[in-house]
Amino acid sequence: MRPHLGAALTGLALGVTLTLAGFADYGEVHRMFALTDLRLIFTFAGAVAISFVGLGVLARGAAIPRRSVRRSTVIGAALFGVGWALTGACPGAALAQLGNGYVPALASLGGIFAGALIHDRLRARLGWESDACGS
Amino acid sequence: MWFLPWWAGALALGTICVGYFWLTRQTMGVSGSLYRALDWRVSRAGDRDREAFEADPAAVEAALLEATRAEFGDDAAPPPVSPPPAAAPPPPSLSLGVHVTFLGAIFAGSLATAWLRGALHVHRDLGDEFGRLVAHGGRAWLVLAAGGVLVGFGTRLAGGCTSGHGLSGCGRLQPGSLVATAIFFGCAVAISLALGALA
Amino acid sequence: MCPHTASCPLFPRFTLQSALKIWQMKYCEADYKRCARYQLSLSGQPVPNGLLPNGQLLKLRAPGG
Repeated sequence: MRPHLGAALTGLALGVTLTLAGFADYGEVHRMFALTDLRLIFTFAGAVAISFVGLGVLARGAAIPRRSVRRSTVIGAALFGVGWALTGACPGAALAQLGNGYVPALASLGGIFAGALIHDRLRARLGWESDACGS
Repeated sequence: MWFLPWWAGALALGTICVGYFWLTRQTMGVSGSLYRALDWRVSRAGDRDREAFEADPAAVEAALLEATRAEFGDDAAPPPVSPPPAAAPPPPSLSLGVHVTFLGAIFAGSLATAWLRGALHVHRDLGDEFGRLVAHGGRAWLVLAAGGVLVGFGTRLAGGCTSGHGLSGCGRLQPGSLVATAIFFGCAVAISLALGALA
Repeated sequence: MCPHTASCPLFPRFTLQSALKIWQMKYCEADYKRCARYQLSLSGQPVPNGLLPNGQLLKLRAPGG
């Protein structure tokens, strides 16, 4: 019960925050990446700092998978960055775009699902080392 | 359109990331949740398999010792003199239902916010800036789909997105996440500067 | 060292029990590419919790048995 409640509350809060902060607005996201408006950059940096403090306290000793740097990390991140700049949609923002009534977000979300499927199919065939867990 | 000042957004996002961990014992990651939902059949089977495995740690312990003896012989697995300490299981994975709830809540939260602001309209395009910088009309949909494929493929390959690597991973100072975040931000900046220059 | 140790459900059980450490020594810390779990994970398919590195499935007795 508790995980469901936690997921629901944080999910709602995330949807609210992404919308109010402007992550669902392509213009705002573009201004962040084009470095013409640093508001969202400070937002993100501040969020990381708070997460660092909070997780440092709560997650001390917790067995969280250690993420090292691999080729898949680098290539995947690069592809993601390009896609994000084009669509304004990181996965969370895509959902927020949809919630804000942007119908074209369906194309972005569809692409995200397709991209994941393509990755899995190719990986099954070629067997490369990926950061995606099986389970 | 009014948007949150940076410190308010930072406070909110940081609290959400920490709150998610506090309440679920797992690190937050939207792409991870999204792919669990996409792979729902596999997720459901995994949930059931995990339940059976975590239901009785003592039985798992006994079965492991038995298998160890069978594989390596008695010398490798001496019978414990005193009752062995219970093995600490890895943090319980969240079920498919929890992930779907999370995703649905993000959508619901943004929907409710847009509506309460009086800003909920059906937008047939992604806004003026998108139209000016990237594409408009029918081509916009193609570009968005292609961009989405890059996001989907990339986040799957890298094992995380803005929340997974950016917030949770960097918050934990995970080397992989720090590098991933720097790279996806860097690439996004490069592309956006190019789009601005070409517009 | 196997790159999957942090997310593997068997690894913590190997490390916490001295009697089981031999699995860790022979697979996780050594020739992890021989591990059946690692090989299955490369195919992208989910790895059953009870799959041992030698390819055998753990036989869990029925609860109460």
